[in-house]
Amino acid sequence: MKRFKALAIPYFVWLVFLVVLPIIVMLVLTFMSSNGMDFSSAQASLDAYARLADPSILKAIWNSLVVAFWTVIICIALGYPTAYFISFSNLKNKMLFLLLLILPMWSNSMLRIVSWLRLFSMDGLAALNLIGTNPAVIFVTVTTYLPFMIFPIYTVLEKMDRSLMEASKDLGVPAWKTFLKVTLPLSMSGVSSGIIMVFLPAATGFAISQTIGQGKVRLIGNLIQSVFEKNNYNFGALLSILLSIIIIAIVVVFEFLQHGKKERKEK
Amino acid sequence: MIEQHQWKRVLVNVFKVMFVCLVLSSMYIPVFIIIYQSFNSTANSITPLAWGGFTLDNFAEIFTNRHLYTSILDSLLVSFWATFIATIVGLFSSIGINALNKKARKAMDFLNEIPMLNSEIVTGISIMIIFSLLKPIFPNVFGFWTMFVAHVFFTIPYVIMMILPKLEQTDESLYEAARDLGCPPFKALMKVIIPSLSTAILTGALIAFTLSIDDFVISFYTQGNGFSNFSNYVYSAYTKKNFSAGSYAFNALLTFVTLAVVFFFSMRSNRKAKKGLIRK
Repeated sequence: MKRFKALAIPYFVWLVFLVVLPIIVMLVLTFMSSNGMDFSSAQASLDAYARLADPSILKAIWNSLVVAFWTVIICIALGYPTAYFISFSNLKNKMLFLLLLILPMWSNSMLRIVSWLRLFSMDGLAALNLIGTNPAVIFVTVTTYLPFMIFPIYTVLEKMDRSLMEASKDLGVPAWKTFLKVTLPLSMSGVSSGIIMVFLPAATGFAISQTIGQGKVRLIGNLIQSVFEKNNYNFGALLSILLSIIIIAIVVVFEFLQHGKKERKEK
Repeated sequence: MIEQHQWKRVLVNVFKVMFVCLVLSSMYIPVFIIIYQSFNSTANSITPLAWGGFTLDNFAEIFTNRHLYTSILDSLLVSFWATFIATIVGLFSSIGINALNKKARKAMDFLNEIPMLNSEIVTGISIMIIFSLLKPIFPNVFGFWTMFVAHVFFTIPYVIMMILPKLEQTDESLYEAARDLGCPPFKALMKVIIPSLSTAILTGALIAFTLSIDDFVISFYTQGNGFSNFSNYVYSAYTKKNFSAGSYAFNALLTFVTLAVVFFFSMRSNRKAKKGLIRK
C-alpha cells in the first residue's frame, strides 16, 4: 500500500496553512503595533513585550496552573476509585456504566455551566458565596472533565491481566500491597493520559472561569479573550504564543518523566 | 470471626456503591437541572430554580424563538458537514500517513498532534487570524465557512487517531491478494481496505460529531455575520440576559431522543443475542 503516500500531501498542506502559518503571522503581529488585523497603519513596536511585565499576567498564569492542578488532583481522587470499583466489581453490565458516564456529555457543556450557576445562586447556596471563587470554578471544571479521567483509567484496568493480582495474592501479599505494587503501577499509563486530557482544557479554558468566576477569577484564557476583545491583536498574539509554549513545555516535561521512569525500570 | 468478616465486606461494598453514586451524581446534577428547567414555567425568573408550575411552553419556544432555532440549525449544519468532510479527509490522510516512511511519518504524527494538544483558545484565534487575512478579498468570510473550516480542522486529528491504529493492524496481504487478482489499486483500497476499517471510521465520525456539536471556544472565534452555534447562543444570550428557556427544552429533548435510540438498539441487540443463544 506504499503507493498511497501521496494521499498524505493534501492534509500536510492543510496543516501547514492552519498550524504553521498562524504561528508565523502571530509572531509578526507581536513585533508590531496595529489596529486589530489592519496592517495599513501598523508600526514596528515592542509594546506587546513591554506589557508582559504587568504582574496581572503572571498572576493569571499562576492561577490557571493552580486551578488546573487542583482539578487534576480531585479528578484522580474521584476518578481512580470509581474506575477501579467498577472494573473490579462483578457487575454483569459494565457497558451500562460506560453509558452512564457518557450520558451527561450529551448535554451541551455551556448549558451545564449555566445550570451550575443557577444552582449556586439559589437561596440556600447563595449564602456560601460560591460564585466568583476559585473553589467553585475548580468544582465545575472537575464535574465537566471527570469522564476524561475515568475513561482512560477504566480502559487500562479492564485490559489488565487479572492473573497478576491473583499471583500476588497466592504469594500471600496483603491486598493493599498488591494494589500499590501491582495494580497501581500497571494502571499509571491510564492515569497519565487522564492527567493530560484534564489538565490542558482545565488550564486553558475560559468558559467556566468567565461564567462561574463572574470576572473575579482570571485565568490565562480570560486574559487572552479580553485582550482580543479590546482589539489588541499584538499583545493577544504574544500571549497565545506564550500559552502554547507553556503547554508544550508541560507536555514535554510530563512525557519525559513518564519515559524516564520506564527506562529506569528497564535497567 | 467469620461473621465479622462478612460484615466488613458488606460495609466495604456499601462504601463502593455510595462512592460511585456520589461521583456520578456530581455529573448528573446539571443534567437534572436542565430537564427540570425545561418543564418549569418560570425557568427564567430572577429567583433561581424557583418552580412556577409545569408547562410545555419551553418546548414550543424551540420553534418560535428565532435566535434559538437559527443557532440550533447553524450548529447542526456545521457539525454535519464538518463531520462528513473530516471523516473522509481523515480516512484518506490516514491511508497516506500509513504509507509514509519512518521519518516523514514522525513529522506528520507531530503536526497532527498539535491541534489536539494546543489549547482551544489558541486554535480558535489562529483560524480567526488566517481568515482575517482573507477579509480584504472576502469581506463576509466569517460565518459558516470559517466555523466549518475550524471544525474540520480540530476534528480530523481525532478521526485519524481512531483510524490509523486499525490501519496498522490491517493485513496488507489482503490488499496484495486483490491486486494479484487483477484489481486496480484504488479499487482494491475502496473494496478491501476501507470496508475492513468501518468500525474505526464510524467511531471517528461519532467522536468528531460529538466534539463539533458541543464546541464553544473555537466557534466563539470563528462565528460572525449572524452565524453562530448553540453553545455560543447560550453564552451570549445568558450574558445579555435575553436567554430563552427553550434552550433547556431543546437540550432535554435531545437527551430523551438519544436515550430512546440507545434503549431501542440495546433492546434489539439483546433480543438478537437471545435468539442466537436459542439457535445454538
